[in-house]
Amino acid sequence: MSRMIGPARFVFVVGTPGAGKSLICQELEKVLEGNDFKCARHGDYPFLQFLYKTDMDSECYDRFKSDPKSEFIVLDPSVYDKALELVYDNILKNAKGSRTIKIIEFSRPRYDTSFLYYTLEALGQSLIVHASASIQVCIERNERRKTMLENRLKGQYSAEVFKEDPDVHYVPPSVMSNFYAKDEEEDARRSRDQKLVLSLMPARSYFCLDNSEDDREAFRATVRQVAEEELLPLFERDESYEDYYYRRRDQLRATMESIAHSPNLMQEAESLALA
Amino acid sequence: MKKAFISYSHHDGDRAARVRDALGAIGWSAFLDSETLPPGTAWRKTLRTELISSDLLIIVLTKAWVDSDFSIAELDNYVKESRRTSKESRSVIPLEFERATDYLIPQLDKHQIVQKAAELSDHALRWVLFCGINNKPPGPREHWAANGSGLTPTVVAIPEPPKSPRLSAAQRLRLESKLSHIQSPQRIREIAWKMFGREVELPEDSKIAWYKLVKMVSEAGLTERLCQATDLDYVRLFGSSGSGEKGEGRPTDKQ
Repeated sequence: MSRMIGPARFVFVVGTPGAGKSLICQELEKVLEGNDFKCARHGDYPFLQFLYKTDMDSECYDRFKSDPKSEFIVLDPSVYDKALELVYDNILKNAKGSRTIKIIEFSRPRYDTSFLYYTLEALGQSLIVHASASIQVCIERNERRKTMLENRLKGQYSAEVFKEDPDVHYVPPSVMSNFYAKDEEEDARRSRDQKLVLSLMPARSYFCLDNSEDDREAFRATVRQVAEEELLPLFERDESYEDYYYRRRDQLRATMESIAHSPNLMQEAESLALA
Repeated sequence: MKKAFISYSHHDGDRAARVRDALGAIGWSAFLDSETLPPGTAWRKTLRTELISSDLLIIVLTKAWVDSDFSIAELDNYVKESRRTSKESRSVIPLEFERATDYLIPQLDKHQIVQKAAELSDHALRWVLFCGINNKPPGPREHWAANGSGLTPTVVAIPEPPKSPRLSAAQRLRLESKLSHIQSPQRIREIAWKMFGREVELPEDSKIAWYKLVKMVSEAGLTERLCQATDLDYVRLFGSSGSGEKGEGRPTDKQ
């Protein structure tokens, strides 16, 4: 009899601000709760905030700078990984034996070091869902959010104002450009690297959902289909290591193929050949 | 099988049982609280849900029924619920077993009452119920028994509507969004009862409740019935299931 790996218990939802993480979380919560699971949604922001406050209390100013608009600005990017360590210590480590599915949402330009602190056991119980959209699309969506948030603040409630999620966070274009990608070329490279790194994580499963088109309902339908057909079985039952291996192998192959056939990579290869 | 709710006073249990038998003979099931509810059941809630999920209300009209406030409340609930849906088959058939029309019951005014029901033979009762259900003139009273003797469940059974194809994720989302204005957990539970004829455990959060119910309905092939119960136009939403016409997107057989 082959050895079994227990059901998945954690979902990491990652992607650039505006790529559709919140929509994925909402739909995932609906599917899980509609199938009699309990679930809880978390983010890394409270942990970053905790680190900032701890630094300020101990008069340590080399990792954060206070900012009147956004509370704080991160000076040392290593705090992002530190926050994910706290996520592990406080959410994953304490969840042993819990039947509640934890959904953890966060965003990074690169994910190479994000999960270094995580044990294989924890990653084996984790699914990674990656919302993908180009930086330009994400910037445009963030600008739309800004307008909507401003309208809400002005009290101009229209049907449009509530079409978007209530938990929208606005990220200005400067942050998007500086933190995520300067231009389309860098964005394409970053996107490829993200897919590669995340698909190679020893997690239970990796799904990349493309949300480049501006069709919320079509994307929601895709998320629902993936959640019901691909994710739900992983929460519901054990899986043999053999099945786990073959499933991940197929996923990895599909990701590699999508990277290899991405238009930008083809262009790069062509320009290299010409040179 | 279509279902009728028999509203009666407990003094008239035997008459209610006769009506139940007559319905059974023409292919209908009947809800009789004394026979259907297990002892100790939370009867008020179950009765209400059974009542509003029924396709037909039959009143065993007697003095005792008129004197009972609860019976009138049953009729009120049924009529109120009928107004909320466009279900054609939701009719009321009052069978006057005792002269009771001297009493003022405005809710019954518009319904044709079957008089002297106590004098009807089993076959005649069967015929008059068949005509009431199928909106058919019963003809001369002296022919009722003869007409009723020829009725069998196989002849009169109303075929169940064909099963609707399963919906895709996108189609379920569209249906959920059309239903999202219904947020009362009680109302959603009542609709679930209508769909499955039993209590369905649903979460309090209306979004999740609709997700779960629409999924169950889609898997059971009851989408068209759900649309009828909630006044949605199935053909407009999904296209005709048999004609090849296309609506905003036809349900798919895939999955």
